[in-house]
Amino acid sequence: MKVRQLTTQQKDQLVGQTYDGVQFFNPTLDADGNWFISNEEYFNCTTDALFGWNLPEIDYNPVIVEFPI
Amino acid sequence: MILANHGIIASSGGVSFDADAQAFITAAAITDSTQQTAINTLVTDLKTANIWTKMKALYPFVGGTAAQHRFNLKDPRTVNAAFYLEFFGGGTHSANGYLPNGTTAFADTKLVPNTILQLNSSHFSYYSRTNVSESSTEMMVYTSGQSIIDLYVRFTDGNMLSRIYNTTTSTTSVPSSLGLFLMNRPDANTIKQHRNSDIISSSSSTSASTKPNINLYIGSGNNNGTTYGFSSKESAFSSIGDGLTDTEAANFYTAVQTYQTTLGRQV
Repeated sequence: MKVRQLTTQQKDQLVGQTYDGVQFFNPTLDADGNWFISNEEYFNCTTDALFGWNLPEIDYNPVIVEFPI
Repeated sequence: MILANHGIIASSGGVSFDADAQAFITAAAITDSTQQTAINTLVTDLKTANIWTKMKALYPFVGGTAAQHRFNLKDPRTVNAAFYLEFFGGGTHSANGYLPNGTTAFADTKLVPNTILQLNSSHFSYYSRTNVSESSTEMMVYTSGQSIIDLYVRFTDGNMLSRIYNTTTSTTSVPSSLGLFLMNRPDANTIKQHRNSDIISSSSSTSASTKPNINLYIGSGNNNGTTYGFSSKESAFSSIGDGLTDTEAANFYTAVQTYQTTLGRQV
């Protein structure tokens, strides 16, 4: 699975912003310390939140958490 | 408007619906006649079974768009106090419901169990249209020092896992992650798991003395304010409310499955 990498500054800019007028971006931290958004957020963005950004595609490497808590 | 068995019936465009159904149809801008009928039948079925008043939040995920899927059938106002969903991350919305992407997507219900739910009577349900075993939670909230609510429809080990205000996880093997999964605390000392019309486990479990005091999420967990265990299971319905008797749980499944069948998305 692939996701789109963000810089910390980009992450801060997206928090609280919608990508389609309804759904909010959810920048998430991966196991390598990279911030990312999903390809769904990237490709379905109809606002100008990502205007001019060419976000690199990286492998999804989720933070491993203990299940269940 | 006329009076009928289920209360005041609203008439719109020559078709009469239950007033609560009509309020949702209007708020969520449901224009498709099949979807309107499905909602109306769901509401009247729940009222006939005396389940309607036990519900705090009903998310029928009908209409096909994120904006329409935000509405709570029980209280279709556009305010947090009505548990009007707020979607985050890359969810996909279609005629089949809400598909969280397993990486960033979830829905914030705005429902805080500590202020809304009863310690000794609660249920949570998730109608899954995706057959996958994964390390994800479909409904969950936990705050340190409080008890936990969590539902794992089908974990990587093939089990349905759930807790409602207790520390011991109910663990039951399920053949797939398809269908209506309901975790139920009908009283202070009992925990039950239901899948479709079956009670798949029942155990003695005493409620803790506390309830989580932050928002419950759907499609992932809310672990002390941090998302946890993103799900990729498409949901065609979800509910939060009081505990259900066995008969009520069976009638609840029948009503939900009838609703899904009408919409052609039953599993």
